[in-house]
Parts: sequence; structure tokens; C-alpha cells
Amino acid sequence: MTHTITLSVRALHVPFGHEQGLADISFDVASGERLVLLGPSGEGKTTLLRAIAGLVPVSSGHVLVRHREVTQTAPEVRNVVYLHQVPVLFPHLRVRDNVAFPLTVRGVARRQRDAQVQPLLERLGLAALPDRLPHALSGGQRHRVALARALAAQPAVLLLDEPLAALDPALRADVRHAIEEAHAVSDAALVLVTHDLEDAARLGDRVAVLLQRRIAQCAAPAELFARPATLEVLRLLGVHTELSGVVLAPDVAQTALGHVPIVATSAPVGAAITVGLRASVLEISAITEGPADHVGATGRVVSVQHAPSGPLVRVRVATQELLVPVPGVPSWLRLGVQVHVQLRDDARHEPFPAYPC
Amino acid sequence: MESRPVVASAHRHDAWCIVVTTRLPAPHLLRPIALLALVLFSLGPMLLLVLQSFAFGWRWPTLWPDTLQLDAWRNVSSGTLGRGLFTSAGLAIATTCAAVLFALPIARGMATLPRPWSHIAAALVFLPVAAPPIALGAGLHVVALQLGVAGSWSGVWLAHCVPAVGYATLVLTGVLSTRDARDEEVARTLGASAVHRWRYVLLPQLRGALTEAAAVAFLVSWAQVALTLLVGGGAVRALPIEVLALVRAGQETEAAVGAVLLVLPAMLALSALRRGAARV
Repeated sequence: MTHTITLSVRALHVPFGHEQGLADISFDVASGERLVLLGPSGEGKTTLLRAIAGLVPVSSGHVLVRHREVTQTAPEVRNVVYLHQVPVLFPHLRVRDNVAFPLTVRGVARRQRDAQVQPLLERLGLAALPDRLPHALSGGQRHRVALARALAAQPAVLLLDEPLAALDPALRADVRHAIEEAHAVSDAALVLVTHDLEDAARLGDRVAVLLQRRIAQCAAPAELFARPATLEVLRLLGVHTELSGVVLAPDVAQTALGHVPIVATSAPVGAAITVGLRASVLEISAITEGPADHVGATGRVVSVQHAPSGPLVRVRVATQELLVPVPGVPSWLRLGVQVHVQLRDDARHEPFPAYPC
Repeated sequence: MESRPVVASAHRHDAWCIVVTTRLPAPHLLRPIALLALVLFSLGPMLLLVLQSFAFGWRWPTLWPDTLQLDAWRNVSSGTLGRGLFTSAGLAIATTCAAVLFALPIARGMATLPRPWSHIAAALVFLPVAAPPIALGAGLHVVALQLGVAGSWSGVWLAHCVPAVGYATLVLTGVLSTRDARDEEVARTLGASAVHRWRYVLLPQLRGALTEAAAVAFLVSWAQVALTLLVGGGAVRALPIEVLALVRAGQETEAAVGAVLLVLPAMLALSALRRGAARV
């Protein structure tokens, strides 16, 4: 795989009617790379994709595709394919003709079209359906046809607008697999919008977080989840529990759980900070088992929630509430009972992200 | 099934109430009766018209004509009806072509215009549809006089085009404003130019609506009397005008032939209309 920059977005500003629109958006995507745009609803993720595709006007900035300025170029000559959240297929064309559409408009002869389309149909599991009309396809098949058609256009950039939103779990897995299959045979730079963390982590080589209509952080998923750049990003990710503290040293904070290692901060000693702890680094134990010999505190169980990953216990420690996963619900664990909360042994030396208050 | 009134009485306090109910036919008979009524009302006059076109000296109260003959039909090609048929066909075909050609971009524009412009455009386009033909004809006559086309085929054609474009736009706007326009966005990013989008995306999907619009425009022109009379000034002898003249002259058999000739293409257009509607 080559890693030449295929899509460059430079200081892009996109208006939102009379509102403040997207501001100063910049990122690069290499060929074959997958960039996920992550952010809450209303932050302009779809608008950004549409601006890259040329479907909405931009107020300033640049979009470059394979180093060619396309900011003011018509969508049909950008070599950027945009796929809507719900696949939009041409209702009057059969699967084969839908997939062949980009070749048809380029004047490719019928025989050549068929020769190019057939491998795509096979690759995306559509070989048995070439003569079906779109209305006779299932939701997953429609996504596959849209992806095959996008690949037939041999785009430099492929933009997928929330392709996994509003799908049931089985169909979601099917479409996610189809996206991976499709991208495996293409060297297109892929930009995918989602507001789902799991999709972002699984599909993205890098994840760009869009907050307050700006890119708040752009990093590999592991880096993003380990070190959210700002407290807002940390809150968006929602996998951390916040712990108040004060800076003891540039890499140590004093919290309700005792001394906690933190990512080196520029905040002065004594400054108030918020430490982001992933729930998985915490554990609880019954208070009767004796005081722990490491970082920890006593708290009271406020609630027990059942999540797909297992039970989560909410513990009030002083004025803060911490969410702690437990492998099962032990018999002593009841609402109101006092428990000991501590960092897991394997996490005691992991520096946690910290943010000035 | 016997359908007799049923009389029931009831004593309540000091008043006597008499309730009279009528039994309706059994439900399984309602459908055939309705069908029969429909056939009588719609096909009955048509059948009488056809019979009249072959009759000779058929007068009320005779139930069946004494003599059936083909003379009136034989004279169609050489008489005024033939010329009227030719004129009407030419007008209707030319009007249909123009109406569809104009209505398509107008309807597309109206479907994409923001409010209130779409409402203003709709009011302008549909005004000739809503206006009484006589009022419209009077106005168009003035325009035709100023353009120097009053009393000519082209003047009548222009006059027919005004309501025909309105009706065709009405049909196409209904379809264009409800269709999913995102497929054109998709087509654009897949490399389709404006011409490609019309050819491969829009027109194939509008085939049914275009057939419907063409049929409506044809019918509007084909059955047009008021505009033809007012703008044509009697010089343009379309088929409805000839039929009207024959009725006034008491030539009932020839008028019936003309009326049958008027009905046949209209039925074909209606059939196209139904096929178009089924495809939309």
C-alpha cells in the first residue's frame, strides 16, 4: 500500500446558513487510509463530507484531491464519491446497471462494463443478484450495491455518511464487513462519518473528533482513547470517569483515590485538575477485606447497572461518583453498602490524561 | 331479493312512535348493481352515439333505427369531418409536444424553487387551468390579435398550449416534487454530467409521468372548443367545431360520426394516462 496523500483539507470554512458553520477544518487522508469523523449530532459531520464532495459551497479554504485543487470544481469531475446514510440506488436500474452506472456515463462499452462490474459483484456478494431491481433488495444488499457502484467509479476519495447508523446489530456487522471488503480492493482515501465509538475504533486508521464545529483531535484510535486531547473529547468518548484532583508534580496528582500518575501537565503544582480514568482501570472490593495497601478510597454503592459488557457499579467517593465494572455481582454488593475503590494493580503506573479545571 | 318496507311500532310513555325502515339489497347484489349503473351511464350514451352514426332517419320515439347505413362514415375522408379530424390531430400533436417540452423544465424548476417562489410560480402556471375557458379565450384572442396570429392555425395552437402547459406542469410537478432528488447528487459524484443525469436518471424515472402529461395535454387540445372558436374565429375548423356545426344544422348522423371520431383518440389518450399512472 502506498501512503501518498490523496485528500487534503486545508483551513476549510463551511457556512451553516446564518449560523456559525464549520471553522478551520484541516486534515489529510492518504490513499488506502480510513479516517473516521466522530462527533455528536449537529456538529457538521455530514456537511463536511458534502463540502468535500462539492455538494455544498464553502466560504473559504481548500480541498485538494491528489494534489489538485477542487474547491470550486463541480462534483462530477472531483473523483470523489459520496454515499448517503441510506443507500440511494437508481430505482429503475437493475443491480448490474446500478453498479455499472459510473462506467456508463463515461461511455465505456457494454462488454467492457460487464467485465469490470462482474468482479465487483462477486467481491461484494452480489453475483447472484445482477438482475434484481433495488426495491427487491434487502437493506444489507442495498448497501453492498451502493459500495460496488462507488468502487466502479474508481474514486480517489470515498465518503461514507453514517453508513452504519440505524441498522440492527446483524445488518450492522454485515455492512461493516462490506465496507472493509470494498475498501480492501480500492486505494481510495476513505472518510467515514459515525457517532458510534465502536465503529470509529474498528473502522478508522485515524479518528478525527469534531466538536463545536472544529476538529478537536485527530489521532489513531488507541491514542485517542488513551489520551483524549481535551476534557470535551474525553466526555464525548464517554469511556472515562472523571476524578477531581490537584497537581502534586508535573506527572502526579492527588485525588480521592490517592496519588495517581498523570500525563505530564503544564498546570502548576497545586492547580486543580480533572483526571480521566477509564472505568476498566478501577476495581472494588468489600470493605471487610481490610484496607488496601495501594491507591484507593472508601465509597458507597449508589447503583448497579447492567451493560452489555457486564455489570457497572456506581460508587460515590466523597463528592464524586465513579463507575466501576465488575465481572459479576457478588453477594455482598448491595445498594448503600460501603466498598473500597482502587486502581487495578496493572494500571497503577499508567499515566492518565489530566485537564486543567 | 324482495325489498319491502317494514313497519314497527313502539309504545313509550304516552307517545306512539312509528319507525319505517327500508331493506337495502343484500350486500352481494350491491356490486353488480353498481357495475350495471356505471355501464349504463358511461357506455350507454356512447353506444347510442355509435348506433346514431349508422342510422338513417332515426327519430324519437322509435326505439331502433329503421335503416342502418355506412354513408356518413364513407363521407368522412372527403367531407368537413375529415378535414376537421386532420386539423384537430395536428393541433393536438403539436400542442402535446410543446406542452411536454415546456412543462418539464417548468415543473423541475418549481419542484426545486424555495418558498414563496415555488408558490408564485405555481399560481402563474396553474392560472390558465383554473380560469374559465371563455375568459381565457377572450384574453388570448386579444394577444393573438396583437401578435397577428388570430384566425390562424398557429394562433389556435398557441392558445391550446397555454392550458395544456398548465395541465402538463400540474402532472409533472406532482411527481417531481415527491421524488427522491438525492439520486441526482449520487449521479453527480459518480461522474454524471447534467446531460447524463437527464438521460440516465431523470427521464427514465419520469417516463410514466411524461406519458401521463402528454395524454392530458393531448386531451386538453383535442376537446378544446372555446379557445378554438375565439382565437380561430371560425377559420380554423377543428373537429369539435365541425361537430358543433353539424349539430346546429340538424345533421344528426354526421354529427354522431364526428362525435365518435372525437371519442376514439380520447379513449386512447385515457388508456395511455392509466398506463402512465400505473408506472409512476
